Formats: sequence, C-alpha cells, structure tokens
Amino acid sequence: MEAIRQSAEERYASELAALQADDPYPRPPGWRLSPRRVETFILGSERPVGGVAIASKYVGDRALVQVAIATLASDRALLLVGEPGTGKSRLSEHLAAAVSGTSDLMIQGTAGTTEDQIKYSWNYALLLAQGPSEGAIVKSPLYRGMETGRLARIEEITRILPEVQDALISVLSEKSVAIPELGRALHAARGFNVIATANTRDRGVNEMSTALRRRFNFVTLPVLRDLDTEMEVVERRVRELQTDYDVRAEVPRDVVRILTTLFQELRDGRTRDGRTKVPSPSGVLSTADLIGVLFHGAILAQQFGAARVTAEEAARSLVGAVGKEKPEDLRLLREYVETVVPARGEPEWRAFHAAASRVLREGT
Amino acid sequence: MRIFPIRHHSPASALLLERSIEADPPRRILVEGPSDADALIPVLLDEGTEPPVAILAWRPGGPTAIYPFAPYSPEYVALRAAKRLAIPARFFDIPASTAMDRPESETAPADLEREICARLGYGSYEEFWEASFEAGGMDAETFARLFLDYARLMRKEPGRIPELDRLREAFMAREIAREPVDGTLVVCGAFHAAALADGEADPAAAPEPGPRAEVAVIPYSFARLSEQAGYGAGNRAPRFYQRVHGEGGDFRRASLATVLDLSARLRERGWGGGTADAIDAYRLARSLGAMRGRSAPGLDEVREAATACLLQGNPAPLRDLLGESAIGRETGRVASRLARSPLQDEFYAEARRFALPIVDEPRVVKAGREASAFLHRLKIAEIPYATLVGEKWRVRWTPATDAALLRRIEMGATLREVCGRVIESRLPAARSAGQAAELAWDAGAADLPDVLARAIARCADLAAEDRDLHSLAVAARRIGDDALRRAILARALLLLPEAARVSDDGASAVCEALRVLAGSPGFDEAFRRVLRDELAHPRAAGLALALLRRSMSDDERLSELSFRLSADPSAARFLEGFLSAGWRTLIRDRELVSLLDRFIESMGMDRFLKVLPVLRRAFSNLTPAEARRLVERVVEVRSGATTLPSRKAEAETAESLALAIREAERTELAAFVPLRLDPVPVRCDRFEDLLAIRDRYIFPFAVMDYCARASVEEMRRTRDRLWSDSSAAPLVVAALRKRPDTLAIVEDPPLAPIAARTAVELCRARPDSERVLRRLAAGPLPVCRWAEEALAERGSPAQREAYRHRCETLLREHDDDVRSARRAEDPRDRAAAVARLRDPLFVPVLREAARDPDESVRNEAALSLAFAGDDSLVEEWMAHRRVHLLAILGAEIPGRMP
Repeated sequence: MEAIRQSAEERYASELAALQADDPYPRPPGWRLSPRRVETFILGSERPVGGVAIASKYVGDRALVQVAIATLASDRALLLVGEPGTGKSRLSEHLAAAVSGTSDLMIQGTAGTTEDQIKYSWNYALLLAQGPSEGAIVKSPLYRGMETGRLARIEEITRILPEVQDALISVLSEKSVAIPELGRALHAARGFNVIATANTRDRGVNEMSTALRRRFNFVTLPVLRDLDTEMEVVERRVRELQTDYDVRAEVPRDVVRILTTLFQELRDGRTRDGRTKVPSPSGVLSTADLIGVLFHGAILAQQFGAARVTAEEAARSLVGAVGKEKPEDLRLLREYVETVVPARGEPEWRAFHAAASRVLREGT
Repeated sequence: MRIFPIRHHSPASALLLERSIEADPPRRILVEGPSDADALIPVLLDEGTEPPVAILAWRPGGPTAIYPFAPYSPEYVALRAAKRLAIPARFFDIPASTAMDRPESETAPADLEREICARLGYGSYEEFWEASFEAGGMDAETFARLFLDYARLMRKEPGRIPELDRLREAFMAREIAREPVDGTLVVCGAFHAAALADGEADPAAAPEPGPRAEVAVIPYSFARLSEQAGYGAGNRAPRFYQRVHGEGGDFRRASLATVLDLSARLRERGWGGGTADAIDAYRLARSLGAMRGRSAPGLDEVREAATACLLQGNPAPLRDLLGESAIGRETGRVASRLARSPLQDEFYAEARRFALPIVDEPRVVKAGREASAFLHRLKIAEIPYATLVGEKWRVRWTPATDAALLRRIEMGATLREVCGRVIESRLPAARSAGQAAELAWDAGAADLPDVLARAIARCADLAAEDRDLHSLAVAARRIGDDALRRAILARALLLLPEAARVSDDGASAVCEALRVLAGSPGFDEAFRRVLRDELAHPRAAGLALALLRRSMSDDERLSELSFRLSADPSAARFLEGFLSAGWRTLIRDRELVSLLDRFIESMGMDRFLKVLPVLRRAFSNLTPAEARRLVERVVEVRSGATTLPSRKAEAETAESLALAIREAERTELAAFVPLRLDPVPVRCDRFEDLLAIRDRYIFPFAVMDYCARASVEEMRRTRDRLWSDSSAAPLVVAALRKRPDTLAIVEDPPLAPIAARTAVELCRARPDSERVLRRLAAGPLPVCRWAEEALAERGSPAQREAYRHRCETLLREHDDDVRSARRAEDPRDRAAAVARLRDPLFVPVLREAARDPDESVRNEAALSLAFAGDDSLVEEWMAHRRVHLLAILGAEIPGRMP
C-alpha cells in the first residue's frame, strides 16, 4: 500500500545512499554519515554527489545548520526553537534521516504526554501472564533510539507538562533509563541523541526547568524576512503537499508573490517599501499559515475552480484562515485590502483587490 | 634577500615572522609602510607609545592617508624585533604623499577566491583564511612558502592587479635595489611579495614623489581598527586576535578564554550558565571547527556555540558583549614628549581640566558654561568629538579627533583663533538674516564676544531687507539681542500672510515659522489672516488655529474648525496642521481637547468616516503614555473634574485602568486611541475590574495579581466565571498552584463544568489534592471524566489500565450512537444520537456533527459539546440563539465573560 506521505529517508533514499557511498570524512560513532555529509544533505549541493543531485532541504543560515549537526555529535541534545513555519520539524526529520537513517523514532508532545510514553510502558496482558519480563516492555521511540544508537525526536516538547518533561533529564545526562521492575538499566548505544522542537507561540521554553534546559543546545530558526526566500520555501512546501495529496491545481507565481507580500507586510506592520503603516493582526501569520492558505486555495481551485489558483481562491482561502481566530483580524485585513492594495497598479494586484473586497463583503 | 609574505593585522603572520627573525637575524629589514614616515619609527617604538596607533599623513587643505598598527601587526612586530636586535629597519613602500593622490580603487573582483572557498566548503574568505593559514599550525618556512604560492595563484587572475599596486611594487623593487645589502629581509603583503620574489616589478616604473606631506603618529583604537574595510584577518575582532597573539598563535586557548570571559559577562547580566556550560560551549565550538576543517575553533565558532549553549538560541545579548570581549575598547597612546601639535596639547589639557573622557565609545556628559564653550569651539572648528543632544553632550574620542586637530593647525594655534577664523570667513557668505543669526549663535556659544558683535551687526543689516519668512523665523529664534529680535519678529509677522500662500513643499517651513512667531506681540492678528485666507496653505491655517489658543473664543474656534473641515479637499491637511501643534500642547490644553472632542461628537457618521483616516494617522503617533493622558483629559473635560489618579501612584490599579477604559469607551475617541499601556505590575482587588479590562493586554497581570490576593470567599464567588474563561484559566492555574489555601476554593462542588476543568488542572499540579479529585470524580459529566483521568494518571498502572478500560467500554457502548450521529439518514435520528453523546470522549464526533447540514443536529451538537466541556462553539451559538440556549442550559453552562 502506498503511504500518503513518505518519510524523509524514503523520499531521499537515493541521495542518502549516494552520500554514504562518497563520504571521505570521519563519522561519529553510530552515525550513518559524517557531519559534513549531513550538512550537504540538508543544505544541498551545487554539484551532484556520486551522480545524484542533492536537493536543498533547508533554506537559511548555514551556520545554524552546522551548530545543529555539531550539537548532535556532542553530549548535549538539540532543541530547535522557532515560530510556526520556520521549518523546525522538517529540519529535525531530515537530520534524523541523515544521521540515523530513520526519522520514525518520534514522540509528539501534548499536554497529555506521560512519562510512560517517553520511557516505556507495559503490555498488561503479558505483564499479568508472565510478570515483568523483557517481552512485556512496550518500548517508547526514545527507548528504541537508545537501544539502537539512533536519534529520537520529540516534537513540541514545551507542550508536555514540565513535570513530565523532567523525565528526560536523567535520559539526557546519564544516557540511561533505569528499569527497576527488571532490576536493570538500559544504557544508550553510541549515536543516540535527542532532537526536540519547540514552538515560540506555545508555552515558552522558559517554563522548562533549568536543569532540563541545560541539557539542550538551542538553535533558533529565524522567520523568513526576505520575500524571495520565503516564496521559495512556500512554493516548495506547497508543491510537496500537492504531490502528497494529489492536488494538481496550478499555483501561479503571481498568487504566491501577492500572498507572501501580504503576509510579510501584515507581520511587519509596514509595507515593504517602508512608507506605509499597516495594521498588524494579532492572530497567526506564520509561513506555515501561508503554506496552508495556498494549499487550501489549490484544493478550492481543484474542486470548484479551473484547476488554477486565481485571485478568487486565494482571497477565499485567506479570509477563511485569517477570520478563524479573531473576527477583529478580519477588520484589519479589510483595512489592508482597502487602503494598501488599491495603490498597487499591477494587474494581478488589481484582480486580487477585486476578489478580496468581494469576498470580504460577502463575509465568508 | 629573504622575503617574508604577511597578511596585515594577522597574528599568525606576526608570530611566525618574529620567530623567523629571531632564528636567523637579517642584517637589514625593509617593512611595508610609507617611506616618507621613516622619521616616525622611533616614535612608534618609543616606550611611551602603545598601539593601536596610526601614521597620519596629510597636506594642508588636501587629502589624507592613514596607516594603522595593532600590537600584533606584523609590520609593527618586525620593527620592534629590529630595535631589540639592533638591526637597521625602515619603510620602503611609496611615500604617503604619493599614495594620497591616488585613491585606492575598489579591489578587483575575487572570483578565484570565491571559487576556492566554494570548492573547499568554506562560507567566506575569512573562514578559509583562518582555517588554512591563521590556525593552520605551520612553521614559519612552510607558511611563507605556501602563502607566497597562494599569492602567485591570485595574481594570475586576469584584471586582478590594480594600477596602484603595480606602482607600489615598482617603488619597492627600486628601494630594495637602491643600496643592496646582503641578508636583507623584506616584509610586505603576500600579494606584493610574490611580485618582488618573481622579479615582476619594474623599478623604472616607480612613480615620482608628490608634494611633501605632513606626517604624525596619532592614537588609534580597536573600535576603529575593526571598522577598517578591505584588510580582513585581525581587523574584525582586534581584542580576540590580540589574545591569539598573546597565546602564541593558539586559537584553542584564545577561544576558550573568550568563551569563559563571555560566560562571566553573561552571568553578570543574569544569564545563567556556569563554568560547566562554558566548557560545553567550548566543546561545541571545537566540533564546529572540526566540521569546518579547522584545527582549532575561531571567533565564529565561539559566537555560534555561545548562542546555542549559553543563550538558548537568542543571539541578541551577544551583540554588545562580543563587542567588548572580541573587539575591545582599548585606545592607543603616543609618547607625549614627541610629536604633538599645540592644538592637540590644548585639547588634551582642556579635556583633563573638565574631566572629559578620552575613550572610543559614546559617553554622555553634562558640561558647565566653560566646558560647554570649549565643546562648542570644537564643533565650530569641525573637530569630531562632541555633539549636542538636548542639553547634554554626547562625546566620543576617535582617531579622527586627533587627525582633525593636526590638520586645523593651519587655521591657528589655539581653538579660539581657529573658531574666530572659521566664523569670520563665513560671515561675508551669509546671505540671509537666518544664516547670520546661526553664526551669531555659534559665536555666543563658543564665548567669542568680538566675533559675536560682528555677527549681530551682519544679521541686523540682512534682516532689514530679508523677505524670507523662514530665514526671519530662524533669526528670531537664534538671536540673543532683544531689540534686534523684536524688530525681526515684527518684520516676520508683516510678511506672514503673504508667505503662507505656498505649495505643499513650502508648508513645513511656514509651520516652523508659525511656532516661532506664536505668542509674539500682535501675532494673533496675523494668524487670523492666515486662518481666513483661502489661499493660505491648509496645514499652516490649521496650525494657526491651534496656536491661537486663548486669543479666540471657544465657540469661534469650534466654528472655524467645523467650517474648515467641511471643505473637502483641504480638510485633511487642515486637521493635520491643527494636530501638529504637538500632542504635548494639545494634551495640556483642556480647551483644545474639549474642542476636538466636541467636534468629533458633532460629526455625522458619513463625515466621521471620511475624516477617520486622517484622525487615525494623527493619533497613531501617540506614545502609550500620551494616549493615556489624552484619554484622561477627555474624561476630565467631560466630567469636569479629575477622576483619575495621577501618574505618580506607585502601581497601576486595575480599578483605575478599568475606569479609564470604561470612560474612554464612552467617548468616540476610544475608537482610534490605541490603549497600549505599559506592562506594569498591576494591582487588582475586584473581579468586576477584571471584566472591564478583559481585552487589554494588562489582563494577565491583573489576573495573576487578583488570584494571588483574593480571599477564599472572593475566589469562590467568582471562580465559575473567571475559571471558565479560556484566556484566564492557564493564568489561574499558574497563580494558584503555590497558594496554600487553593484546595479550599475547589473543595465545595459543584462547579460550572468548564471552571471544573480548571480545577482539575489545578489539582494535577498539586500532590495533596487527591481528596478533592475524588469528590470531583463523583460529580456529573464531564467533570467526573477529567477528574477520573487525573486520578488514573497518578494511580498505579492497574488503576490506569482500569480507567483506559472504562473509556473503551463507554466507547463501545455508544458505538451505535456514533454511527448514527454520522450516517443516519433522518436528521432526527442524527440529532437524537448526538444528544446521547454527552461525554468528553466524543468531542471529535460532536465537532463533526457541529458541521452537519441540518440545523437541529448542529444545535444538539453544540449543546452536547457544551456538556462535554468543549465550549468552543457555545459562544458562536449564543450569539445566534442566545435565548434558546440559555434557557436550555440554565445554570449548567456559565456565561462567558464579556
């Protein structure tokens, strides 16, 4: 059966194989690739490696990526921090795929995450039948990472209750988990480490205990301020989503440019030329939202339109996204559409203005 | 002849060069440096001189050239070693007098360098250089050989060698050949070294020296050194590279020292992290270095590792600290008994007398009358040191200060003389009263009475015929002489009505003049004429109206305002002018506020909407404090009394804020006065105040304070409403977690369902809450389910399993309901099924049902969701069918806070 979404190691299997075959640099114990090759995998390479083109998977500061990789080879774990849409989860996934060959060892942090889910729990039927035994242990992804010397990932770590988070302290400092029921401890194989991600919109990293924070190196992924860079990221992600979900509607560059400009201007509270003040909504305006809006627009176009995202679908999907959190933000959006947009004479902006004011009037 | 290639300001070059000289002392050393500054070598090497220093060369009134030396500059190190070993040494580059007439062209494009970096995987040339040469761990001979080869490669790139470089190399070759000495050591940049070594330079092409230039050694600073573009290496972080130099070229030790220094500085500022963290940071820096192919970590690695390890990924605090730690504040010193000009002597003596700092970083000082006159003189003489900011001076010594002092000597031997000459030379050029008055003001400030008298006379002459309003206004503001001032004002008022008829371009100047003229004798007559003149610029007219203040009755002003704002095309600009009278003035002036308030009230909706953009723009310029003051003013004007506590009150009370906000909301002003209040600690005693400030961002502070202080009875009274509020609930949990009597507030069920969820969260955070949880677990849905879940969490594995089992049973039992809620054909069946699913377990199904095409199903879903404790839809539904829902829900679902 074909999965909806391929994991990073599946998607880039040929790249990883090529990098592995052509890797002259030393590898830390337990790693599939050397740090330099991991870097090549993440940032891409202008020249093919072993005949395979290596695509860029993260757009942004090379030094940040290097710090992340160097951290994974160190005693400390890695915490990727950033606003929604800055690419934390993807970077985490790609790092795990490159370093350990798998990105599957993942725990999704929620308020309901328990210590069991982080360490291990029991298969109760077996537990009752046999008493505590190796067979009855239900291993968490972290456990499996320790056992096999691979990277484990924890998504949205700050959503986990602080008391539960602290279960990680011993894992990260001792690199072992005690299993008192069996009278033994699991010691991590070399190559094990943890990549966690944290969203700056959630309860902050400041609520993590100091002891835990000290086990992590922090890498903050910046919000994309540059129009072209953000467009590049957005276009690629939307394309990937479209492939994954088989949405074929075309997303023209004009539309991407308009929406990216709009998001950046609303986010910054000023127009790109710096001349006009723009009302800034309180709601979310992250790159992730932008990707969501465009993808939604593509679905609209596919289902109800002419298989091509026009100003109409863009406006509809935008209004839906902005209005969902705070009706107040819709008012600000209307103000933007009525004051800033009309000053732009290009035909695509005019079309967008017409569509957006109509949609806003209808109050969709 | 031996040639040692160096990179300027490179500690590795310096160290290896020094070793090479010591191992095999040459008989003569030729150093890259301006050959007409040879006489300054003893000054450079004097015991009283401490680098960083620079050789400054200039021609009076002409160009300059500057040659900085750091303590670790190879050229400086070579000269010092020569002195120590008694080897004759001199400069052999083209004279400064020749170089200064041939400004250096932009360095040719370095495609080759980029290509090399890209191929080896370095992000920048600096990285490449540091990894390959600076921290390469080579011996002197290998370094010289490899670096020379590298330079040869660079020279092969077409178009790479600038014309000036060819001339310099020719000159150097000629100097070497001039008096050949066996055992000569040539020390120069690798690029030139390659040309000299390969005999590429043609001595015959050496340029003729230009006219003689003055040269002197001046103090320099690390801060300036780090700004010098085009050299790289040691420049960007002089202190760091000095450390490297001090550690004998060992980047590891220098990096470790820098990390430790940084972590100590961070601790001082409250960023945690002890030595263990610093060591972790250093380790990370090393592995980063290794990843980049370096033998030891450098500054970039230190910065990135410190950000990740010590600062939780936030680089902001490093910006300043790294500056201190890596660039350094050191300023150099030049032996005072040598080579100082009288102006330098005066400057340093006066600076000492007035205790003015000589450091290369901005400091703010207050100056007395005499010190102020001294600083003004420096300003007039264009010696960069002090700028006037308000009533204080911002001072900063830079090498440019000394450079300017040296150059000004042609204008006079004392600052007084120099300033007198500067002003006198400008007086004849003054073409308007304003310009002359500026000069008079300068002369007064610099305490130069004779020059002042001449400037006033010149101003009086010019004022009599000056027809430029702006110039007259400037003159009126600047001139100290009373009689002359009165005359100028009178003349300006006479010209005003005519002058106010300008286009948009001239309006700012007219407005500026209006401000100066306001309040002078007879101004009101002239201002009225501007106001009534249809040809006058509307902004000027608006400002005139605002400035007329008490010279006009309220009614008269209101009708003027009303009248002018009804004239469509100019209304916006008129209002802009009116409001530009300055918020301070406006806020202070009760009548003006009242006028504005009445005007806004009197507008119909259509007018209001039209004026709104202008108002909004004008009001958005308010600071939070001003906005608050304005609202207070409006309240005050309306109620006729001061109702708000003064700003002096220690902490804001939620009560006063609530009052301010309630009042503000009653006035139309609130529609566009953004109440952005400072995030101060807020005191809040009354729950009702919380309701009033629900949407303001001080709300969290108030909630925290309220929860920390309210009595148990008070909390019981308000808990259902406060705890049900989604934005308050997390704050409540945080604030109450540590209160000893919290459980007493929860102890007495029933609570409203959503408030109960907060209660369960609270209990989760406290180990002593088991009893309360059990009670909650005995209550109705959905409270019992959350409580059970919380109990199971802290229970034994068996209890947890039991809970899981119970949930599964429930899910199984309602399997049919879930199916019919989703798929039953008849909406009535779907609605009935939905009504049976009132448990938190079914929230996902209920959410689906809330989008059902049938309205009765949607209604039922909202209701069931409310019972399941998910209030997300309640609000929406309340809006549409308030009565219906409220009637059904009764007390079970609390009203959300407004």
